[in-house]
Formats: sequence, structure tokens, C-alpha cells
Amino acid sequence: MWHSPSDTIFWGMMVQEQTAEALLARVAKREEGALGKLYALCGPRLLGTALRILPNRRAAEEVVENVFVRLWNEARHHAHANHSVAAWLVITTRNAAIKRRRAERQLPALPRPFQDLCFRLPRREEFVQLEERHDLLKKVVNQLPRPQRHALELAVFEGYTEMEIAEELGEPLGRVQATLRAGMRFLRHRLRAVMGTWAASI
Amino acid sequence: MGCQYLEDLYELYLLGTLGEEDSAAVGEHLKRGCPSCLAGLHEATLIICLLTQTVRPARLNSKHKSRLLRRLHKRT
Repeated sequence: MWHSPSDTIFWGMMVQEQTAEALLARVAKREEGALGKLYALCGPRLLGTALRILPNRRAAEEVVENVFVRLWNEARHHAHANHSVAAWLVITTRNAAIKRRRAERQLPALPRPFQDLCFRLPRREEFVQLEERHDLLKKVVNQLPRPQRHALELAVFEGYTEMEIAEELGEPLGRVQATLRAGMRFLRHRLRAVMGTWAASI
Repeated sequence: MGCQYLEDLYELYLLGTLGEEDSAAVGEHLKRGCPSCLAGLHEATLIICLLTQTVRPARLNSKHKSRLLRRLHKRT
């Protein structure tokens, strides 16, 4: 059976996610080789994220390494959960890199969310869908008005609070808050449309 | 007052971007188990994944992988 290019990408993503989950099950059984394979599969994206946040490659590698050591220790928990291990890796890497970056800048640590986020992480099929529509979603991010996009980048990749963003941009706090909220609202609406949970057109 | 006004804050709450007052308000509300806000929080994790995934993948260093596996071996 022939697949269209988008089908091929979809099946590729499905295989990748299924592979990640299958490897996770083996990691939970303490198979070091499986962790190495999971690292090879997901590592490039995670290292890319860490490098976007941390200017020093060694520091970025250490962050990714620590995330995988943590996964090794918590693998049983993740293997029995319903969430995507790839999503957990992405968010944990971002947060760990931001924590380090803020410490380097001698900024206070950011507050932690109220509970174990694992219960709220994307499910496996949702993460596959996100990956499958990656190119389209990237276009959506690029459609953000420039000021919104810049403010969101400062929040996501610099780990700045809204007050710090206001200082960085030399703008009033209220304007920055409005910009950030408008940017997120835009993404939320577009994400719903792209993911098929809302009947809006892009 | 309903909690609809929190809808714009979930992603910023998870990112740690909100000021202390707003962050505490979101956290306190979520602790009460509001189903629509917990669903919003779930959607917010997708958006954070989306934003984080816009980066270019980086080439892995084989020495780094070996170091990781050595660390595991020591712990096992």
C-alpha cells in the first residue's frame, strides 16, 4: 500500500512514538541499552532545546544527561502512565535548562506548578498528532505578530518572568502581560483548529 | 466570579512567567480540582511542547552518550 508524503510522515511519527514507548518499557526493566537507544531517538531534539536556552554546549549536554538519568530512575512510573514519554522529556529538559540559565544569571528560581504535571501531560496519541502536524504548527507559530512572538520566546527560551520581560523590552508591565496573553490565546485557538478539536479554519 | 479569566494564564503559569499574585491564584484554584481548568492545563502542556519543538535538532556527541551510560552503570 502506498502512502502520501504526509501519511509517510505520520507513520514515521507513530513508529517513533511507539518505539519510544517500547524502549521506555525496557528501560523500566533496567536495560541500559534501551536507554541509550531512547537517547539516540529523542536526544537531538532535546539537545537542540537545551542549546537554545544555554549558550554553553557542555552545560546543555549535562542538562540532557541529567534528564535521562532522572528518566532512568523514574522509568517504572512513566511506563505505567498514560502520558507521552517524549512530551515529558521535552518539558523536563526545557525546565531544567531554564533553571540552570536563571541560576547562571543569578535570578531566583521560578515557582514550581502545584502538582505532579505528569497527570496533565499530552497523551501518547496527542503527542503523535502534534508531531505529525509539526510543519503546519510551526507555520502557526510564525504567524504570531512579531511583538507577541518575541515576548513568548523570552518566556519560553530565556525563562523570564513577565516583569523581567517588561524590563528587558523597556515596556510597561500591563502591555507585556496583554501581549503574552494575546499570543497564547492565538496559539490556543490555532492549535485547536489544527488538532481538529475546534471547527475554526486557519 | 467564574474562573474563565484564568483561561489565558495556564501556559504562562506552567512556564513560570506569571507574577507571584497571579501564579498563586492559579495554583490555589487548581488545587480545588476545577475540571475545566485542569483540562485547560492539559491543553497548555501541548502548547508548551509546540513552542519548545520549534527549535532545530542538534547533533549528538558520541562521548556524551558514553558518559551517560557510564553514569547509569555506576548507579546500577
